[in-house]
Order: sequence, then C-alpha cells, then structure tokens
Amino acid sequence: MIEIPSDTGWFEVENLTENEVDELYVSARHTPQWDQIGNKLTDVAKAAPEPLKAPPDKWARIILWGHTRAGPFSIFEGNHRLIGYAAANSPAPLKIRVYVGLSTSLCFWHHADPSLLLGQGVEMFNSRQVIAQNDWLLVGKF
Amino acid sequence: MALIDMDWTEISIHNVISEFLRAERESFGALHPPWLPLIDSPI
Repeated sequence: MIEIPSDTGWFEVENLTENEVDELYVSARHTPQWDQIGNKLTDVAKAAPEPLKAPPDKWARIILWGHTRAGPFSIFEGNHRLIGYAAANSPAPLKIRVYVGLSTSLCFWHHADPSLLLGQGVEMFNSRQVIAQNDWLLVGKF
Repeated sequence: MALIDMDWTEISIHNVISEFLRAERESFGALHPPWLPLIDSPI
C-alpha cells in the first residue's frame, strides 16, 4: 500500500471556487489515460468527460494535496466529481470548503512527483534536488 | 483568486479520514449503510 507522506499537515480551506479549478490536477498513476493527457483537470475533463452526478453542495469533502500553499494541487479524493464538474456545460457556481494536505515530501499520487515507489516519503529540503533518471531516484545537490 | 489567498485553518488528520470514509460510503453505499458510524472509536 502506498501512503500519503506521514509529515503531511492538513488544512481546511475556504473556499474552492470555479476560479481555482484551473490549479487542480487529477491523481497521478490512477488512470493511464489521465497520465497520458498530463493530469491537468480541465484537460482531462475535455478528453475523458464524466457525468456530474450531484451538485457540489451535496458532495463529501474534496481532498487536495500539494507541496506548498501556492500549489499546484493533486486531487486525492473527488477526482470523478471534479471531472464531472469541469466537463459540465453550465454547472452551478462552485463554492465549497476543501481539505488540503501540504508536505515537502514526495508522494506517488502527486502529478508533479517522480513515479518511483522508492521515492515515497523522501523529503525535499531547499538545498536538495530530486531527479528521476534511468529508473534511479537521485537525491542531493546537483 | 488563487487557493493560496483563501482562508486556511489547520485541522486534524481525523477530520480528513472521516471525510474520506464518508466519500467512500457515498460511492459504495451498500457496503457502508448510513446508520453505521464512520469511525467506531476514534481515540
């Protein structure tokens, strides 16, 4: 089982609106088609749309994850709901509280992090870089 | 406005787990009927 980094700090953020949808990415390594498209929510919604089954005010809390408050953020819970929202023709305005996890560690499910399982939980300090190269995860100062 | 400009309030991971389970229950309702508590004993 691949976990979310244990040093993740959790926040409730008020509010996610339709203006922030462009900052979101679907989970990496969840669906091959999403990865091929590049994981950006708005692009995935165009290429692989899904139905919007319920209005946003009826949803369970969306859970996002990223390295800093500036994003970008991966959707860890609610991928299908947000794809449905982004693909809808005239959806209701979006104004929902979301949970956001922040960590400087690498996460397998985050679109911007390397896919190597070995890198899970490796911390990224300011003085370090992490590079995925030839199936090796290189951590250090380059 | 970007997400960074919104109001951020620190929460416990228990909140996150509870909402994750609620979402799972809504997706797979037959396995988690609503009259069952999401977390039996969170302590």
